[in-house]
Amino acid sequence: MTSDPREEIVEHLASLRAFAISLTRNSATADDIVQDTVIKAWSNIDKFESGTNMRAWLFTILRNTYYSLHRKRRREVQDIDGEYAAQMSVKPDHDGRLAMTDFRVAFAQLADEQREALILVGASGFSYEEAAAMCGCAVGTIKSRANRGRARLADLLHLEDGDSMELTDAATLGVISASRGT
Amino acid sequence: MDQQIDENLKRVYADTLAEELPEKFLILINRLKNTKTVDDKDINDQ
Repeated sequence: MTSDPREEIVEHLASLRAFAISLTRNSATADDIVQDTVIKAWSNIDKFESGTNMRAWLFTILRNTYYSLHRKRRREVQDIDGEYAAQMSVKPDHDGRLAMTDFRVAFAQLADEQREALILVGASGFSYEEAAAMCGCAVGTIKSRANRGRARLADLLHLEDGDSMELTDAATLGVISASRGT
Repeated sequence: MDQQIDENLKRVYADTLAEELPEKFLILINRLKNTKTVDDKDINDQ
């Protein structure tokens, strides 16, 4: 138990950064947003209600910081996204396996709100209720965004029910193929 | 399929979580802690 809640902020740095990267798709921008988030949280710690979820509070500050920056630098962010998409322009494999890179590329193509909902409830372990509170919307809206995001991912990856989906990078697939050939 | 997508999301997310934090975050935290110490001292001195 820490007496000063600010001490707990450090424990969430890695998850804040992972969430920021999923939103921005750019590690440099993500790091800037995390820094802003930490400074805001640190200086507004009196607004944190003791006994509530610190991680949810920090994620809320981070997403507000991101959307505020996104509005201010809409054109610039779109350029960043374009560069990112160009760097990641890899066509999916269609041999029944899904390379990790392909999944990342498809995920990066989702709308902000869908990516956010999937990361919050699909990867970070927040409940739909917690995610809705963080995003300032109804629980049904978060469910809808997550479902549309999953459907969009399946569409981008040309997946259908029953398809095997396994994350394996290209190098590992090469090793697997080589070992099968021997 | 939804469950598979979520599992893969967790793996991608976990990979990012496992990345080493840039040093600038530790520098920032130390700077904030030092600022706090000064503030606390100021309050205690009053």
